[in-house]
Amino acid sequence: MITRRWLLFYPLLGVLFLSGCGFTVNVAELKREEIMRENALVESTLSSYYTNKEIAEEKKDALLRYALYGVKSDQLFSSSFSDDGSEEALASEKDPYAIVYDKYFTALGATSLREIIVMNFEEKVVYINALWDKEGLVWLDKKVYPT
Amino acid sequence: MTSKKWFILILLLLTMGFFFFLFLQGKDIKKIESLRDHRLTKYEYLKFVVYEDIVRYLRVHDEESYFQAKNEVKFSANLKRSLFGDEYNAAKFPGVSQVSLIDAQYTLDESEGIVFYYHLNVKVKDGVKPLSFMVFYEGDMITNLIAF
Repeated sequence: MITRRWLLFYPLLGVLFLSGCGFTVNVAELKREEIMRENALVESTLSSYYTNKEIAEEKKDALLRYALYGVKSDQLFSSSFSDDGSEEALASEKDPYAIVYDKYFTALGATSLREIIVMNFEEKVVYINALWDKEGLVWLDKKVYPT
Repeated sequence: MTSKKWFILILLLLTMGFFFFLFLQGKDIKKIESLRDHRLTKYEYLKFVVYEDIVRYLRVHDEESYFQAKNEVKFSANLKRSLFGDEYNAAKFPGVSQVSLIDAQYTLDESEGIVFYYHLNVKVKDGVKPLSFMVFYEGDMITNLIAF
């Protein structure tokens, strides 16, 4: 049976329906904000990729001289470069080599760029794993495998 | 009309209004979804698809897992022949019991297909070791694998 107490129910019902209709919480607006945030992340990832790739290509020779022969160049390093003894020479400048692969890697949200170079020497294969940012080389790892 | 009928009528109108607004919101959301930037979507999706195949290969430890992995992985015929051979041979497989993904990245230059980089920690008999892979993916399958 409907009594006056039920009349209190109408405002509560009204608030619930208004929420569902988006007057208190606008789902479409939340979705738009989420998509704009994700799009900005994609844009910044691509922007970092292309900027860092340009730096990496400019400094390629300096990287190879440092990684293979231990020759440091001031312009090579980023201010956040972590030196962990990666300057040890792997080869002599007379040793011939061929670059088999030279690839750049990124992923959503990455601000630095990874470069992997695979090089064939006469008696070994060298893997260079380098991280670049917009200033230069941030980190370097090298692996040598005899063939 | 009695107050009970008014109540039902108002409830009905509010319910219809609610579903109508949901319908309008749904249309808005579809329009908003079409604004999503999909430039990296393919790579982000494939990154995990390819990773699953790598894990299947790494975790081969007996004949049963060998045949299961050989059937499931999307490797090119040449790569499958080179990595799996014609029959199970324990010496050919790393015998990994656990794999943790530390980093996964991809190339945007597709001149040699998409190349994925994975840095993993793998648990083998003598402990946990780091392992990196370059995985070449072209034409819907993995065509080459370099571990270092």
